[in-house]
Amino acid sequence: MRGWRLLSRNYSLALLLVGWEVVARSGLFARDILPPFTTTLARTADLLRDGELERHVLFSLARQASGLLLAVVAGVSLGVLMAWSRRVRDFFEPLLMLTNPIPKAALIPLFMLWFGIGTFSKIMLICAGTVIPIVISAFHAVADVNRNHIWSARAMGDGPLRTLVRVVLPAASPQILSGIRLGLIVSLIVLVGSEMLAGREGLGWLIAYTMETGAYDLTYAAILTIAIVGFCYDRLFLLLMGRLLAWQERAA
Amino acid sequence: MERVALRGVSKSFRDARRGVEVAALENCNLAVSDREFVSILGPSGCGKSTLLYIVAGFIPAGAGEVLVDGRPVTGPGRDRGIVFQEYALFPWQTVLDNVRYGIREGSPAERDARAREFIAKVGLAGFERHYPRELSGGMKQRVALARTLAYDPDILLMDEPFGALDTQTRLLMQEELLRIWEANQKTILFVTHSVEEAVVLSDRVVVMTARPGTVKRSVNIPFKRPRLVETLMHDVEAMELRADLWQLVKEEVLRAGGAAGGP
Repeated sequence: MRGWRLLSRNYSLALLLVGWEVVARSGLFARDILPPFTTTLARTADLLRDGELERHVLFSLARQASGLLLAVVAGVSLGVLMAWSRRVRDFFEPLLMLTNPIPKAALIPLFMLWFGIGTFSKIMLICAGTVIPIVISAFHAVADVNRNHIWSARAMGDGPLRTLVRVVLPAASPQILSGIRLGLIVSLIVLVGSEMLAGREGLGWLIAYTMETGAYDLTYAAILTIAIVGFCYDRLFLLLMGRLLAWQERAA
Repeated sequence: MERVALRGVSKSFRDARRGVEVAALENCNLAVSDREFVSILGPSGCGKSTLLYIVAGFIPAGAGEVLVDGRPVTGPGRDRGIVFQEYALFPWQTVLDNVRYGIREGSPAERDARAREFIAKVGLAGFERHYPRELSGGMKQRVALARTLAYDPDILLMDEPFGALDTQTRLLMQEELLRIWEANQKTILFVTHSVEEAVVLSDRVVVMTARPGTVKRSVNIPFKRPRLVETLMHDVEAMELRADLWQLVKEEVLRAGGAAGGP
């Protein structure tokens, strides 16, 4: 019964996989250009078995998590400062407006130039790519905190720092978390892009390497893995948000 | 002894949109005695909330002197508790956590017990684990009142605390406040635009003029305590007082309407 519900709600997905399988097996395309879904699954399992895939996933996720964490710390701090001080806001707002629309993948060569092609460069790139939506959402969230909440805390004896930690940040947390979720998706894009261009490990590198060497079935396996990782990541984050924001009218 | 004293207090705000200074308060003088219940009555926009926020220390006075217990006010303090009309409770905290927020003395268990005691005092025992969104407007205001009473400030500053409630709930809350105040004898500065509410609750009603607000008249309310809201509804003397006060307020409402060029 449950399985049937799951299928009926995700049948477009099932259709895509079945379609993939049928088209691949029809002989319309060469096998190595479009291997069937089941073959891709089997190749993914092979990669998993010799620990190769695991290594690349861990490399990628470690980079992504470091970059995003850095962006959260920097972004929330800057957002709070902008909401707090008119001068800080006036300084950073035009810069953010100008840099926000730049597709972050366009920064990859620049960051390679500045920081080299190693892990540090990728972390900085992920941080730069995700920090802006976090700054903007934190800024708006903090600026929108109800004045009565802040004044209530002050009247009960809280100083500015305690008010920030115990009242302003919790009150702003729904919007800040939404900003982080946006950053999370961007971080995966930037991550894979930067790994494809340089390096010796990571899911992006796996895609680029297998393409170059003509091992297309492994390319498919890598892409499939990224899709699954990204999906699970987003779901987990939503779960966390729901937990943290259970007090809201409707948790995200 | 004077708990709160305002001498020649003025305040103006900058209207950024029109690029002009707007005077909100002009030369306000007011003295509130220990354990006195004073209502500030005036038309909307007369600056009565601004006056309260200046006493609370949320915004600085532009000119003049604000004293609490003889000392100038430089910012908010735990000697002055505030109850807002709305949006005061922290929505991410349960009723218990909200009420416990201001309590600083004692072990965690003692703080917990004290919070529960005040939740029970406002009639909400059993709702400790609820979030504010699960409560009605009246219940939220009870929690807000409990939160402020729980850390025992000497002075209560109340900014139209029942203004967003329906009439029945409002009457019940007034009775509740009278009961609590008569038991605790705090000094209360109570902002309202309701003549009825001011008469029922206060020892003294201060009527303010339209913007820029200043004290127009101070009227003593002679009824003995404990008071019952229903009794005062039909009391002849109370009716006369209400009529007099309404005349005073009405002039200001009309003046404000005329000045703004609309209703």
